Amino acid sequence: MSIQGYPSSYRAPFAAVELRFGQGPSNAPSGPRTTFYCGPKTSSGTATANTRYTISRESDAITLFGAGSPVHRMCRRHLMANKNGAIAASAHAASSGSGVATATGTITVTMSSGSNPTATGNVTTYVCGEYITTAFNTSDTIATIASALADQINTKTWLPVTASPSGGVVTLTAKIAGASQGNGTVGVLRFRSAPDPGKNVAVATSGAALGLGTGVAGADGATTEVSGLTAALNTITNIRYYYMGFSAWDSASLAIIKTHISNKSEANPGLRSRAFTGYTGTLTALQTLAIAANHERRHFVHQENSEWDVADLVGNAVAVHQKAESVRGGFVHDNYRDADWMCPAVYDTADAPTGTEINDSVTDGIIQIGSDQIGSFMVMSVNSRSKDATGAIDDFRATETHRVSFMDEFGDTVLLRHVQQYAGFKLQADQKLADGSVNTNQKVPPKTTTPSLYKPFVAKIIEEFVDAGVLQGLDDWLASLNDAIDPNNISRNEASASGRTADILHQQTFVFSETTPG
Amino acid sequence: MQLKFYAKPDHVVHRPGPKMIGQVHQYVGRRFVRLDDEEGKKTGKAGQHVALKEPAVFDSEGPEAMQLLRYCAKGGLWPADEATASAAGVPFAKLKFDDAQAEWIPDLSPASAAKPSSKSE
Repeated sequence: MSIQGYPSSYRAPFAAVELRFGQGPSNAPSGPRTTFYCGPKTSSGTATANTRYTISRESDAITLFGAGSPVHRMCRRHLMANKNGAIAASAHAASSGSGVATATGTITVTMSSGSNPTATGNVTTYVCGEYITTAFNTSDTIATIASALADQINTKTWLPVTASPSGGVVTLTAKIAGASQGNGTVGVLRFRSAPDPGKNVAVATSGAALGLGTGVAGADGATTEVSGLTAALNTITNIRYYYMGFSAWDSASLAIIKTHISNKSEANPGLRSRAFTGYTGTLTALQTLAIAANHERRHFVHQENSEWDVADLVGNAVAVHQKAESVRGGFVHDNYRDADWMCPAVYDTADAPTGTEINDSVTDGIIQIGSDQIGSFMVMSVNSRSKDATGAIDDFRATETHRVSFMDEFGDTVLLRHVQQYAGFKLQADQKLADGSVNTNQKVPPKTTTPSLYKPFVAKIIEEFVDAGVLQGLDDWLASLNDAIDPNNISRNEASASGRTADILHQQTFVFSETTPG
Repeated sequence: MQLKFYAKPDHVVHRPGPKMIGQVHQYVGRRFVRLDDEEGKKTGKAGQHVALKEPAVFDSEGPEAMQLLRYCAKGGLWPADEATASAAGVPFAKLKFDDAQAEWIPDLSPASAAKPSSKSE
């Protein structure tokens, strides 16, 4: 059985595995699963653009990529949720050149009458989910309150905005120029502010997020952010990072990310990986993007009108997956709201997804974040491979994340053990008896294998993974296990098997009937 | 009352009701056009859900009405008439069908602006 990317005419030594998803009836190197983050940097970051760095602590990300940059924020959130997670990161330049615009928003403080508050109180402000309380007293003015608020925002250096006061107006400006921080349609950096009532202080905002309402919308310049992303990805085409997180959310960037992941995850070069992106706009818009991707290694995390920006969403989602999947057979369970999931619920309960919207999300391969009175939760970990090749018919066979994660773990284990056990081995055909069956008493030289001797090596690993609850249906796996020498390449041993990964208990129904007689 | 919607570019809304396994997915105001059958040969190309020129019509008393109005209010669908726009709480915008894109887009022509119409195209 041939595998893609390695025709029989390919002569260089190799071991490769091809994982085929969606093969059931309808109705490279291996190692630790490291994480890689990529996004724009601020000018204060010392990192060389498109260069990979290992991130051990948050201060590394601040120094390299700039405090409040999307890459810093992804690393920060990851380390908060999974402090032992291995992270690498690379940043590219933000958009620049002619036409570039930076998203802004304003918080305007006014007095209902006169110049001062009538009592002590607070202005409560949220910027990207960060809670800020600005105290005022009867001697304050709109200018002193605005100035104090701006100072408090700027003290939180990890925020993706800077604040500057002028009179009673605080202008929030994204630290990254371009459309990615709010293009006037999709709000990315949300904020709101309100004073204690009845104290003569009033506060108004330009909109719910930077770039919305009367705020200035971000726009890419002649040098776009997607061009920076392209350059950054070109530097890692030969390097495997199992989890890849991106702050980009526009369709052009998403197309490039999918191509990158898809190409790397082919049997050749065998750099199997998965990519996560976030989205804070409407579900109906994200559905279009997810259906266009329709790939088992592309994850979309969605919370409409999220208090967090996409960098936060991606960092937390990746960290949780890395942690859960780091143990054999581990997966992110349904309605995930464990302690390492820190995303706040949506502010406006009207933004919480309905049951229909949640079902539509899962159907289209979107990791939807639900909200309730307690907080938020990841409804179900899925990937965007939710349709058939035409993109028209639902095909859920490979949409559950664990099927990809489990098979990746299985494939990586087989490869690793093959390298450990068979390095330096010779290959020869099995001796056959007159009836065509393999001579079980054949004599094989040292450090030599044959298809019939190799087969138990794979079978043993399958059995191990079935015992661990990663795979299921041992008999089916073993019955389909085949091993033969490529007739067109006598140095190639080809093993294949097919079977199912374990299933997850997603649903449970009950029917109870009360039977008091009449 | 009947609710009438047009599909909006770059948005898809699942058609309410049971989803049939193995059947082409249905979106409100859209139909699927296959691109993989050229001259009788399977090309493997994906298809496309293009917008319908006729509005998708639902009963305002039906079980799906609230969800569709919510999608419309969030910007996932165009209201096809003023009554639907009013029910969704969004302004009614005059639209025109762009044959090149096979999508409904805002009609920004001066004539449209000067003479707003309550009847959509």
